[in-house]
Amino acid sequence: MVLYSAVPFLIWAATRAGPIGVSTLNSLLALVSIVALVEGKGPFSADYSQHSVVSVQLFLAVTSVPVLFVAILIQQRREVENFLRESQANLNQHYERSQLLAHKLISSQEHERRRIARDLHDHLGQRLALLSVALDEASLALPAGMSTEHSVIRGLLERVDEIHDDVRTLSHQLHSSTLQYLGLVVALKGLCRETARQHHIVIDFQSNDTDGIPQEVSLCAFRVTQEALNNAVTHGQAGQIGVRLQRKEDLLRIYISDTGIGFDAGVSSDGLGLISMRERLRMLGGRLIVNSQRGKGTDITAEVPIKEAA
Amino acid sequence: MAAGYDFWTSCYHWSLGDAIAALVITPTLLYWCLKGWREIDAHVTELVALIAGFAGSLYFTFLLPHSDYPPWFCTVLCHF
Repeated sequence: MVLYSAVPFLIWAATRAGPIGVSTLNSLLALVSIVALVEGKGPFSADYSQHSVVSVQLFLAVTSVPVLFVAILIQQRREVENFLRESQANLNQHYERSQLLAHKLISSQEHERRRIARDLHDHLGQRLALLSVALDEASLALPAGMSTEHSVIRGLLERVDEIHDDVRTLSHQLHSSTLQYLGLVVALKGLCRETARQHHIVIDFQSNDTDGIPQEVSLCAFRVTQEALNNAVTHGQAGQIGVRLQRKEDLLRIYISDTGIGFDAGVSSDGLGLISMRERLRMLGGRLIVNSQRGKGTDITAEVPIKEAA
Repeated sequence: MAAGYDFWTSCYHWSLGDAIAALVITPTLLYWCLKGWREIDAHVTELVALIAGFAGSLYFTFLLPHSDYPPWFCTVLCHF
């Protein structure tokens, strides 16, 4: 077995030095074994005959070829591993970039919503209020006998008030000052009430103690609920919706279930609304679970960790 | 045939020698010409230890006298 004392070193070279290491050691092994044979030394030198030459040749074939093959396999595996590692790193980099982009997109969307809401409230709302006052004054200034003109101005006043209400609702939808100053529960109650009034449906809202929720989490929960209600009314044609807000230690959970037409959650791809909800939740380390079947309504569960986001 | 062997024995030796030379020498030349050493990730000290160990094993195998030569498999293989 003395003959195989070089094999461990060949295997060592195969794992650590690659095919070039193994092939170099193989060449050295061949050189030394041939020189030893010629000089009458070593295991193959019993007699310098054809048997000795064939023995050396077979010995070299048996030792060098398998180890070289193993070295090549190891090198290929290493190359594949490196390639996969690089691909993984690239993928992670792109994923992080897309996350950052989504974060910026949602932030800028919120910023823009706030600006439009402020413009609607401060400019358009004020102008409509002034118009309403002017119409009221015009109505008072008219002589008592001009009943037709009075009724026209009253009609105009009602329309202006309706437009003013719509502008205010739109402004609140874009940016809820209630959420900012009175908190999530009050804002969600208002949202449910307003949605129910607008679409003539029933929305049941329930919540437990949800004090101390950071503004970022509140805004996320509000937007997710807003989008879910909008989807339930617009796409689900729901007549009855249940909204439940629940805080369990450091986790805020929102359940939104409706009795609408539902959809096949396994087949349908996410629309922009669902993507937006998922992105908002993912930004804060949360998740969205959607369960729906055709004709059986839709259940949405949104979970946001409170501590991580704070 | 010049050494006194018949044609097929000579042909066998010649082919086997060529094949072994191609298997042993060709990869070495190709890897060194293609600068394959760049893919070695072992440290220099490890390479030195490897070469020293390999040289030691060659010395032990081919230069020190042993009593149990030839190994049985060589004897068996040589009868083919």
